[in-house]
Amino acid sequence: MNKFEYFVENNPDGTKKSHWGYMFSKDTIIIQDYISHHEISINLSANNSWTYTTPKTIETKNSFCRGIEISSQDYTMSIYVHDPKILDDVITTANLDLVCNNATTRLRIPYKLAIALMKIMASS
Amino acid sequence: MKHIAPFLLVTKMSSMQVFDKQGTTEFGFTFTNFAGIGWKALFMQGLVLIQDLSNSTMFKVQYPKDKHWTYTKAELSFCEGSICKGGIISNEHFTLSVDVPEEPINSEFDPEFYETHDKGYLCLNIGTASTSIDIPSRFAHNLIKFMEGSTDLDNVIDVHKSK
Repeated sequence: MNKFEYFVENNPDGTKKSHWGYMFSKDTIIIQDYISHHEISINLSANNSWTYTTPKTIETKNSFCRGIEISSQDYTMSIYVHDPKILDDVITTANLDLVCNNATTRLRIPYKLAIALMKIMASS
Repeated sequence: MKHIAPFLLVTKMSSMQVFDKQGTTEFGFTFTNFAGIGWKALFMQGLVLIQDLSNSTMFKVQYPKDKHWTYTKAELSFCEGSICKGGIISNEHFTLSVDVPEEPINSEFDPEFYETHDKGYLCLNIGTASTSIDIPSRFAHNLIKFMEGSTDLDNVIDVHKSK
């Protein structure tokens, strides 16, 4: 995947609720929030490909927490979503964590975006 | 630094050691703006933590306690049509930069309008990764003031300070 893909959610009145762009390529990973102006970018060295793992699903009081991680020697990027035990509960957000050396950055992202990113990470 | 938001043009910098100047070893504060958006910042030897109070955004950097960061003042620059001032703290492990449009100097200046319409920018660089986010303008001003060596900040609560 060497071009930007976009994720858009609209409010009932047609205005944008969320608008994100993301790109996974051999050289870089970029994830951008066009509304809140948040951005994560990682430059990848040529001989430093990443691998992915799927940590064990964790059961909490009200949900099942599942995630995926991609990592190389420089960083680990993980995405976690909570799936509610009661189907009537609607969870609309997920967490994106980026860990580099001893630094952690966390952004909250839309649930459906997290699912899309998890599929890309698992298929690469 | 490896990355600056593309709308910034920083031309010249000067440096000083904040820890040497202030003697501050630990400082934290909670900030809430007119719109009710809250952020928390904690600076310790070996730790920098900045997060919003809804816990949806967080920057946390841990580094060896003896590796104090150095403050660098960025000269005025243009960002999104405004003149911005900026501050940068860095050591060999990370670079954290803050930029914010300067407050206009005139009698019609409305702090509430400024806070709800202008934004500050926070950027963290670690190795080959960078993360940038928008933050409330007054929070950005406070971060820069602290980076410059002051602990006399605006609109903050729960200030924690020790030497």
